This record gives sequence, structure tokens and C-alpha cells, in this order.
Amino acid sequence: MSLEKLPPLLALVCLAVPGTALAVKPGGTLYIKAKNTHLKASSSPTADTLVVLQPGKAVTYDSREGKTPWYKVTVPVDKKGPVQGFVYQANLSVSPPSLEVTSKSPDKPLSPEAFASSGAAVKALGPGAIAYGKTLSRPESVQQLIELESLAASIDTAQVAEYARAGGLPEVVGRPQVAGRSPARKKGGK
Amino acid sequence: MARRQVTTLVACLLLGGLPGCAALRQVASQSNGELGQLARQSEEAELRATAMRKDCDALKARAITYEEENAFGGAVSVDWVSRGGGLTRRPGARALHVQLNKIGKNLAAQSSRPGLPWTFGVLQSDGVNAVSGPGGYVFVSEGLLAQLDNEAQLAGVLAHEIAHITGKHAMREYQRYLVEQCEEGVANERSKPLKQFGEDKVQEIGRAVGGLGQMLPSAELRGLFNQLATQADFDFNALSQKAIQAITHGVVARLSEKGFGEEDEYAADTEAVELMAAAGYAPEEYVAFLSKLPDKGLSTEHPRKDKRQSRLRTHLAELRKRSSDTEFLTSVDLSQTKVVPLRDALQKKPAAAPPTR
Repeated sequence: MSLEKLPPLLALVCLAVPGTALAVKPGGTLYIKAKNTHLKASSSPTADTLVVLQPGKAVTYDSREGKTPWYKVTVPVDKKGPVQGFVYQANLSVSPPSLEVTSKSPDKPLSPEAFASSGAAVKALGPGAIAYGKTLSRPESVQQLIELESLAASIDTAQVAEYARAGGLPEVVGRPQVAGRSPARKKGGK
Repeated sequence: MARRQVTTLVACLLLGGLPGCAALRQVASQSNGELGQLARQSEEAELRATAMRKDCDALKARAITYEEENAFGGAVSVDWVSRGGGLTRRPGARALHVQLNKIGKNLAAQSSRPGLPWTFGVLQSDGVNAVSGPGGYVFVSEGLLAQLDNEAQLAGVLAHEIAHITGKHAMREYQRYLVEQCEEGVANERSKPLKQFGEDKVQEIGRAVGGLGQMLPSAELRGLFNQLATQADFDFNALSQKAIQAITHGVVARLSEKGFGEEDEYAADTEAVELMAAAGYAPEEYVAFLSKLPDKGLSTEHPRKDKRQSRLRTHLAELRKRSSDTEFLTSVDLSQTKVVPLRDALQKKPAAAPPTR
């Protein structure tokens, strides 16, 4: 077997064997997993938020804060330069989230962020489902589902974060805004 | 034409593609009478079947858009709601739905498809079950809520259903169903001249075509598969009501009868405990809750509970071993998880249903 074929094969083996971990070393790339992930100024859930990041954003892994679930990362935020801060472990992933294929650009799948802003994700029960539902034994299910969708759409990430906090759970899905100060630039950043 | 040639021609029509069949059909088509007519019809049918065959092959490789997934998922979900007795009407139903959506959205936001418009609902059914619809619909039954000891268990059930959606397990069943129906349509096209020829002259006309073939005229069926095979922006909502009914009913019936594949169930379990841990819930609670699930409920027949529990315990043990001071290995940190007691609307459990006789 040629050596060129070995890396893809190893990657396939890693994917095929349950429990096989893909490891990312410092300097490697990690991806943001959850909506409204907060890049914190220090390794604490109560620290200031520097930037709010969205799923699929690539960040550079710098180091782990001891044995805590906080990881120091560098994020290319804008043209002014990268920002360094801390992200909670559960919000990071070794692989990017799934891309979505939409009818507007079937040949160019969208990242979660592009998908969210494409308008495709605005769900309402379609005319086909509504007509089908009216043929079922409980046609009232159609209206019930329409109302449920409306209720679900009204619940935003701030409410989700608040509910998690009230239960003593980490705020993995953060609030959508940065409170307070401007982002601290990484040393040496332009 | 000699009796032997009639038999051979019929065999050709039944099986198609046999060496020499095309030549025999051509010779027979030039003859007069019933057999000549049959041969001519079979030539036309073969052309239609060949074109449809190409569509079936293209169908296998196509990418399904989110819009199609969402349109089909809506139809599946309204079916689940109807089968589940409608959405809950218990006192405080709205508050319960708000709470369920907060829990579910927190989990789904950390899945591999965080941008889907997720919707979580409670079905009136007394059975202990949970189901999902493509595009982001998740339902749990009142019967399941009555069995919960804590919120972590509910989170595990929701995460399992979320994983079926992010893994596109139902969409694979949808695709498989369409391909099978397309292939049956090809067989039906080929055997149609024989059916018209009359069963008294043919001992066996091939297997009966069910599903879409029974619901739709053959021209519409061919058009449907051609659209699926050739239109990258195929619009599920633009199908005829009969087609939507046949496809949705066909896939839901199959899921109800056979469920997802065993590997899909295990994959959903594995993803569920990881989503739970990422959100801070103790995944062991889900493993324990599996004991309370029936082997078969509203939708699917799952693999044996003890086998699922055993596999999950092994997976959790592996996750505990994954720790490094320098490398990033996993999103999961089991040391940070907890059992959250039932709170708010979830504390008001509906009365458990009396045992059925």
C-alpha cells in the first residue's frame, strides 16, 4: 500500500471504530459547536464575554487551562486581528457541524451560520403536510402542530440559557449579545 | 407463432433483458393478431422501463435539500401527532411545551445541525414513547413523561430523537423507500403488457406492485421519479395530494413496523449521551431510563434494551478514559454532569394510565 493512501485510510478507521478519538494538538484547528458560544476573558463562566461565536467558526487551539473544562483559543474575529480567549469544552469540536443543502444553492452546501441567515430555516408546516394532515384520523393535528411550531419559534437562546442556568447547568448556549467592554486583542495581533 | 415461442416471449416480458429477447420481440411485433400487439406493447413498455431505470439509478445518488426534508418531515410529524392522539391538552400544556422546548433546544443547539428550527411537543398517548420527524420535530408521549424520575432522563430521550434527525435516519428510509418504489415501477412497466394480455394466457405475471404503484397512475409515477432524479430543487409540496399521502404513509408505516436499523439506534444512543454530557446532564440517567421503555411502542421496534445499555456503559467508560492535559480529545466532560430534578411544569405528572387488558 502506498503511503499517500494511509492518512485517508486511518481517518476512515477512526470514523468506523466507535470510541476512537481524534486528537487535536495545540496549534491545531477546532470548531465552534453551539449557538452563541461565548469567548470569555478568563476560564470562568462569569468572566467577561469578548465575542459571541456561531457554529462552524474555526478557532486555533492554544492550550488547556490545567484540568478544567476551559480551553484557550485564538479566533480570527475581523480585519483588525485575532482575539484570544477561553471557550467551554462542550462548545468545541474536532469536526465542523454538518452543512445544509438548500434548493437555492444545491451544489454549494451552507455552513450553519450561512444557513441561519439564508431564511431557509424559517419553518412552517408546508402546504403538502397540511393537506395530508387533513386526511388523517385526527385532522385537528394540523392546527395543533402549527401552533406548536409558533410557540417553539418564540423561544430564543436567551430563554434557553436562562433555563439552563436556573437548573445549575452550564450555559452552553449563550445569550446572543456581548455585555459591556470591547474585545481584548491578542498580543501581537494587528 | 408456435406455443414454444409464445412461452419464450412471455418469459422475456417477465424477466426482461434475456439474450435474444429483443430480437424475438421484434419478430413477434411484425406479426398480426394478439401476440403481435403484445410484442409491440412490450417494446414500448421496455422503452419506458429503461428510461425509468435510469431515473432509479440517479435517484440513489441524489442530494436531498433541506426544503424537501422539511416538507416531508412536516407530513411525517403531523402523522405522528395524529397517531399519538393529538398534542397534550392537560392543564398547563402551554407551560409544559415552553419548558420542553427550552430543554430540547439547549440540546439541539449543540448537535451537528444547530441551525435547524427545532420543535418539541408532547403527544396525548399513554404509551411510553418518543418519535421524531425529519427537519427538526421531536415528540414525547404523556406516558413517557409519567415515567420520568428527573430531567436528565428526559434530556436523554430528546437527545436520542435529535440524533435520529441529525443523522438523517428517517431521510435514509425515505430515500430507500423511493428507490424501491421506483424499481417496482420499472418491473410494473415491463409486466403491464402481460396484464393487458390477460391472465388466462399467462401463468404468472410477476409480483404485484404495492405502495405508490397502487396509488398513482403509471404516468404520474414515472413523472414523479423523473422529477426526483433530475430536479436538484425538487419540491415535495408541489406533488399531488395522493403522492404525498402515498409516500408519507408508506414511510411512516415502514418506520412503525420495522423501526430504524439497529446501527441507527445505537448511533442515536451514543450521540444522545454525548449531547447530554455537553449540556451538563448525567448520561447514566438515560442508560437507567432505557429499562422503562417498552420493546415496541408508538413507532419503532428498538434493539434489546439490555444490549443498548451494555453498549452505552462501554462507550461512557471509554469517554471517561479520554483525558489529556495538552490535546483536545472530545467535547464531553463527564466530570461536569449532574442529575437535575424535575422542575416547573414537569413536576405536574399526568395520572398514569390504568393497565390495559
